[in-house]
Amino acid sequence: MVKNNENDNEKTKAKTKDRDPLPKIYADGLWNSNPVLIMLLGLCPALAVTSSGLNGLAMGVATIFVLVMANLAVSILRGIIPAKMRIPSFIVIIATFVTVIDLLMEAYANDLHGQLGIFIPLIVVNCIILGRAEAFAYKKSVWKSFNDGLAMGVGFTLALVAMGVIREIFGNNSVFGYNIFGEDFNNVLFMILPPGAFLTLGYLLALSHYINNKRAERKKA
Amino acid sequence: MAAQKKDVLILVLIATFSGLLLSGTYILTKKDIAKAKIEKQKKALKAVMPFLGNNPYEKIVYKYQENTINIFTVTENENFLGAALELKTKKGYSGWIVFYLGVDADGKVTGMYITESKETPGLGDKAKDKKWWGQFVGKSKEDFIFKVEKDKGDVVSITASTITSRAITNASDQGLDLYKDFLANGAKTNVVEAQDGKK
Repeated sequence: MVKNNENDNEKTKAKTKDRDPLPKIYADGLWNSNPVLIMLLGLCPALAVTSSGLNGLAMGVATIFVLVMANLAVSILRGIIPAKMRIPSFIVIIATFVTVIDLLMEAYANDLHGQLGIFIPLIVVNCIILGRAEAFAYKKSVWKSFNDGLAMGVGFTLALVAMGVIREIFGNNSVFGYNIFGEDFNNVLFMILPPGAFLTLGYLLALSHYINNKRAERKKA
Repeated sequence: MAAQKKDVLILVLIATFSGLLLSGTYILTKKDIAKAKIEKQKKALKAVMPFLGNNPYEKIVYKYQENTINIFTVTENENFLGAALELKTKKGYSGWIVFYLGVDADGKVTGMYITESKETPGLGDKAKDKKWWGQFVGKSKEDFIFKVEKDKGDVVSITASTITSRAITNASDQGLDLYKDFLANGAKTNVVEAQDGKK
């Protein structure tokens, strides 16, 4: 029995190695396990900064940078970092890259930096980044981890931009700052306020699950 | 014991590399951050003082009653044209609001520019729009009461953002009082420190 189990384990190990081709990594990041819509990770920034499309995009891009760099660093160091010390090590690595992007944005995108304010430093505690370091980069090759960081980051960004654009359209009558419905449109102000964030997220979650269910049904049929 | 030593050693190593990377980035961006801050200030000064042009401006730290603020005075051929007041208030909806108020030599407001605020987007944040602060322009303490309508003044509040409107209006009011005192008593008294704004 024991021997059989070991064999099974080895088999599954071999399988998981083959299970991460690039298309799957990207499909996972963008849709199948989208950080916001499916895994429900990183909801704090998703709810807090998406009051406009541009804010969502900027937050997403900052997160992509941190995710990719943290995944790379963790993957490169995965042979050195002892299992016991991995969480503190990850946090140090993540915090370093967050501070780097914080400084870079303050120097080269000052206005945006002012608008995102406290949420840039708070990327440190975004659970997607620690989650990907722990679940993916600590176990997989550098190249795959890089792609995983990029895919997850882009998926996160898309979700944030979607939320930002929806809230901006209803709450501020504009898309990326461009007015769309003319002056007479009555803004639904609360869409830009925290309740609007929860509502938008709820509808997006419902929509993505609806689509997934339909797809599953079609596969069955 | 050996394993523990190794654990600590590796964490120390990682932290050291992080420190190096951070100090590198800091050195790299230090100049640009300072530059961006100055640019921001220049942009604000230009926005609130249409008369600024290429005239030299001077930063004066001025004290009146409990308030100490920075005044950027503009002179053209030794004629005093007006100034920008750098005002701060903590009475907004969330945290500090920092803004510049341009005033000409007669005490009339020429513009407003908010450089820092964490007011609610879509509500208090609208104070940044000229649609709102435009009502200050051309007004002075003589013909305009710098209080929101709820406080029996002339300032129309932003819908659903009386707190933000009141904070900015009251800070402007105090700033204009200070400016009046500054004009009356000249730059002779109460100047804490004067500094040339030119490069």
